[in-house]
Amino acid sequence: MRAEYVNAFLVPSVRVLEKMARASVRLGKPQRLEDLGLGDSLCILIGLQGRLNGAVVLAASHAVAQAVAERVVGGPLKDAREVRVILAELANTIVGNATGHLYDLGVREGITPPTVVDGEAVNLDFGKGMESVLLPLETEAGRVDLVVSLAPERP
Amino acid sequence: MAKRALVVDDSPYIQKELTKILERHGCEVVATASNGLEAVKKYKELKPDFVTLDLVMPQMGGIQTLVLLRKLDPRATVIMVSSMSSKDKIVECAKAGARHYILKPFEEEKVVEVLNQVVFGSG
Repeated sequence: MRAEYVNAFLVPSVRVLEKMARASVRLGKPQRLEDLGLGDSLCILIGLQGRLNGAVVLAASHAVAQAVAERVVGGPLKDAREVRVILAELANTIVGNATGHLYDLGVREGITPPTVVDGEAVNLDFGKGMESVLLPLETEAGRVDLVVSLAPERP
Repeated sequence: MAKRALVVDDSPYIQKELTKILERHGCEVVATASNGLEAVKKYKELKPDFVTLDLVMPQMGGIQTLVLLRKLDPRATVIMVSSMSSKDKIVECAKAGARHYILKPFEEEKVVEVLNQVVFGSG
């Protein structure tokens, strides 16, 4: 996966978390992966359609998701649905902003509305042949993972 | 007199945040809608002064909704709201009849600037 594509998602991830969740963000070590066992997690999936096809996943443990969502709204949240809604909007904003960076690289992309996956034993399988990179984002609220999974680019 | 707004977004969080901003700046949000079908129905019922319209929504997306709203009312004032920042999307919305485009994450000053230009007519 081209480094420019990874950066197209990384830059808005940091910016959106800083702006919306008022968190400072430190990137951990990126990892290539084929699948991902997340355990207790809230995941937001957004599909990518265009010259690049694949998906982006924003994932966090329930405790971290709650903490991030509470930073976004500036107060406590009692309803788990509100946490899901806010995380979905964070993911949507990150990926939507990323399409602007990709456009500047000559790559036109569409995105799908967010899909929420919420469970106690979440496992993600990105499919054979997909190139998937996990970007761990450390914040004051805890660790949020961004996974970018793309099919090899068509020539 | 407050300008009447219809806020269309599939995210309840964005509906709430945008409503707060609009109501702080001389607007009354008469309804919200979560998809294009609902938006067209509410537009017909309520005839708002303007609409804020999300680009990516399930069931019926923003561009399709914009085209339908403009067909229903050629004078409809629609402001697109989206996280998608690519120039081609902005141009596509303008060609379909959107009056302006607000990027997410919101900056309240930018929203106010757009309101002043498009809704309150000072721009």
